[in-house]
Amino acid sequence: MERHWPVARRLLLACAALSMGACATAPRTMYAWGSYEELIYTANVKPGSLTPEAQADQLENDRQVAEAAGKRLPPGWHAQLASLYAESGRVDLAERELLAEKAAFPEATTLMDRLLANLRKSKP
Amino acid sequence: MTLRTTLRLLALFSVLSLAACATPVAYDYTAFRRHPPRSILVLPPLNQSTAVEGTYSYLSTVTLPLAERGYYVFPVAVIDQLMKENGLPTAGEMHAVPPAKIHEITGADAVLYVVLHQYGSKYVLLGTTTSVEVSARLVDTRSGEVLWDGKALAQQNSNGNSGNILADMIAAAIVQVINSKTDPGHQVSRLANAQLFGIPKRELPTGPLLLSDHQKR
Repeated sequence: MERHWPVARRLLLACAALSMGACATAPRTMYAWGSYEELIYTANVKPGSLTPEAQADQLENDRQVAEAAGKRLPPGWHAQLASLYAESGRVDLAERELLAEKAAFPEATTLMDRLLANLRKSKP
Repeated sequence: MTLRTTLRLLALFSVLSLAACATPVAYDYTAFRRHPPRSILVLPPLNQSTAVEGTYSYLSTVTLPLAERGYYVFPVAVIDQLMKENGLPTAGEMHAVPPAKIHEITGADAVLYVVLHQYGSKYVLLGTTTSVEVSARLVDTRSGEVLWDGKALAQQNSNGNSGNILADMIAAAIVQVINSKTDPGHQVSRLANAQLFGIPKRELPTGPLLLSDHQKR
């Protein structure tokens, strides 16, 4: 009996490999996520731990990484950056990012137009 | 290892992998096919757990899986802020806004309403178990029809295994994408989402913005 076990073990390994192959998902993504979701986590779960300026800097870093990799930024990304810029009073940058969101994703048009109108109202 | 033990292991393994992939009755996608959405707006979840931080910890895990399935996902934090500025300070009040009104303000095709049933860690005899249990409903903003719904319970022990082979493999794949410094509940939320949207036969169908694998870089 003992001499059969290498065959059985090989079978076991093959079975394991096959079922993993069937279920495993590739970690490739359509978008360059960077720290987009982690910043939303930090800003809301640990409020005050990161200023809007620090968050915007981090997102600008992510943008460079994405551009270097030739990857798109995720849906909502430009709008999130816009809201950080608006919070720190950099209205022109906020406006630029809202327009970028709309250009990248026409699905956002209604909301972006509304936010652009609000932003222009807040301009001194 | 004798042949008998090996065969037993083999049998056990087959049962386990079948259980991991097994699916119940096929889901009815009639309403979804009638109104297939391009864009999804996710409201902060209704938090029924005892952990206050669960609300935003969960909310900050939901954009990636939906966007990578091919949908435009509205900026979750911007939407939350907009709602608050308009006199809706809690998730409960936001969930009570008629879907047609959300469409009028944002142009969203569908709204995802999430309920967080469990969130957090429990200390038990052999270590810590972190659990996240969610249910979700995707509603068409024009007709008010439910397009899809689902639920998921993800658990992880402090030793890093969930006891579920499929979940562990998904976890490994996700950890490769997201390298995070957040709490365990945040990580387990990602596992819960992988189950919620991806369970075969009742998964959320992929959306129109999806690229095929070879188009990704």
